[in-house]
Amino acid sequence: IVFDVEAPTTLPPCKGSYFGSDDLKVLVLRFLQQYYSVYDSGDRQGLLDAYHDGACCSLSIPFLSQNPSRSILSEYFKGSRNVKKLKDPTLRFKLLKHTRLNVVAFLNELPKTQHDINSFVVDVCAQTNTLLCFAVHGVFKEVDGKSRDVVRGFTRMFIAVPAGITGLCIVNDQLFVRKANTEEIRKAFVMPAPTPSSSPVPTLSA
Amino acid sequence: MAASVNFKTYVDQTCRAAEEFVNIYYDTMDKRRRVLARLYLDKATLIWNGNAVSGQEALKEFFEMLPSSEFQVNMLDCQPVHEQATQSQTTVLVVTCGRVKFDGNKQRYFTQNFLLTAQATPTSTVWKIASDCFRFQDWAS
Repeated sequence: IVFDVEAPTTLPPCKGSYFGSDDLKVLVLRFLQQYYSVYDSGDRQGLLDAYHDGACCSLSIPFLSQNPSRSILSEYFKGSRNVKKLKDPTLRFKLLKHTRLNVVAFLNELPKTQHDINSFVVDVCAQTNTLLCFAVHGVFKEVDGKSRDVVRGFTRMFIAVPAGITGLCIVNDQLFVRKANTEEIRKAFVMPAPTPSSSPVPTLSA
Repeated sequence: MAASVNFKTYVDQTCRAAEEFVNIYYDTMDKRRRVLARLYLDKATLIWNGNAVSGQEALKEFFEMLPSSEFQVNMLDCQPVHEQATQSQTTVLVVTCGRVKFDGNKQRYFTQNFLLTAQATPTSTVWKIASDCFRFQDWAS
């Protein structure tokens, strides 16, 4: 006796960035280029202008089963906010950075970086008159300290409110840092970084 | 200091809502997929590895087409979304990462994020997903 109850095993094909519209693509890519030029400059103090007074920011890394101090992500461990493992409300609160000054002070303490803009894949998740929510996936390398030149993968969520005519002001920022996979390491920084004289908006390959 | 005390309470509530949501979401995804779309707002959008899916009917179809799954979440973070962005509609940003095994496919790492909004009815408050963004960490390979 045979029943035709074949279950699906094929996944939809994976696609590159999803912006929703060309206008949003221009807006978000311009924002990211400006943001990361300051973020990677060696002094993140200049990011004060990018954040709302009441902004929130937090960082997380994958759960580590081995001794965290020996992990390759050890520099990120002490700031990592994994609510699944941290049950203490006081610690949960402490690791959520709140207000512009605290957010930028926290970002300034993180290892110095260089992001590969060409690796960025962006998903615009939600858009209303008062909110723009987008995820950035990509790689960066550290430029200082014991992990110099180590390539890492990241996903970062930004929620922004409109500011000025074309600008964005960040109200929520969640940064997830992880080990880069072999494919990401192989492709990282193979394209030259965009120079100031080139087109103002980087083009994404995907 | 009243404001910061309130904010701490708010953060606390946010965490509890996020924890409860994540348990329900992945359990429904793995075991009761046919009702998963009910967790979404009528106008919700899902961006699944770059594919955009909008609205209850389209979401229902999309979830039916996905192979059965076994999700394992090992990281959860959440933040209250600023009221200026949400026009004072209580909203929570939820970020997860972990492993998933889709039937007939190899196990892969994923990251996912949600915007949850609290929908107040005369008798209770129901949380719904306003947006959902899912990607495999190795989506390009």
